[in-house]
Amino acid sequence: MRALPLDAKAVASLDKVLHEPARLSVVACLAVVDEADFVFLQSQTGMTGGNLSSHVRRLEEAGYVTVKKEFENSRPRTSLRLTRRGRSAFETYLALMRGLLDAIEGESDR
Amino acid sequence: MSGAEERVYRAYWQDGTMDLFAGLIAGTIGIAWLLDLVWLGPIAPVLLVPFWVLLRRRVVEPRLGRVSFRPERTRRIRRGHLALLAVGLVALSAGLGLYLTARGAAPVEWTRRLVPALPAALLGLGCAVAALAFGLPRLGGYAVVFLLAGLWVAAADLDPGWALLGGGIATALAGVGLLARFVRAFPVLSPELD
Repeated sequence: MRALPLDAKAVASLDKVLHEPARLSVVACLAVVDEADFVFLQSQTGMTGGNLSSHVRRLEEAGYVTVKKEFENSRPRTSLRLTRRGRSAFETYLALMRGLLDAIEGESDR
Repeated sequence: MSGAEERVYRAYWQDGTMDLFAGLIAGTIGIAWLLDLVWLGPIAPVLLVPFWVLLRRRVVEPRLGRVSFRPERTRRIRRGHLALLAVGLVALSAGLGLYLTARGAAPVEWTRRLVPALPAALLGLGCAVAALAFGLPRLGGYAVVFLLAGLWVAAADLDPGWALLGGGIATALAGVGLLARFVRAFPVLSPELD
């Protein structure tokens, strides 16, 4: 089997924060809404609270999401929003992945 | 992106509470009609909607969470609500008006026999509009149920209230089924970051 002529630079430039299934699903979910709470992200991604917390923290450190903690009727509520930087990083990631997939498909069609 | 957004949006409406309360409202209007208290019908939503909000807050939100959709989606939802409200008001007044004026004055026998079907058929029209406005195909199913219920009371020469009650019960039962499935599938989740 012949190796595919993938652009090594493009592969290396993939955002490591986003190139992880759990974080990617969080960002993909936040990218289509304005704001979502912590419970909504758990229900949509299927992650446990602890697992989601660690990935959210990583995204927050990268400046991709903002986390707002508040109390509503004396119940805690955590809501998350994708930052402009996070949205831009996600769009760049998608464009790079599309390019790589197109290259693979183009090669396999030959 | 619209496919992912659709998926998230639909997930937000799969809990069945909307179906349950829409069915209860239609059923209550039907009962009011059967008891000759037609004026009570429009009050039913005002009385029942706060319970829907409460049920969502107590049962749905701890399991599904809460989300604000993006401005484009919010505008579409608002347009859908307005269209539904307009169709609902038109359907209710047209149904009532047509029923009251045409039940004894329809020119041809077969049109007179169809008159009792009008209120349920118009409610079915409201469901069809809602299905399109919200992009939820199952509401189209309810439209068919109300239409069939209307034809049933017309064929059996029953009071139109029975069609509203029958369609309402069917819709509410579908809502209960969806809610039971939702509660089984989604446990209560931790509300805050660890």
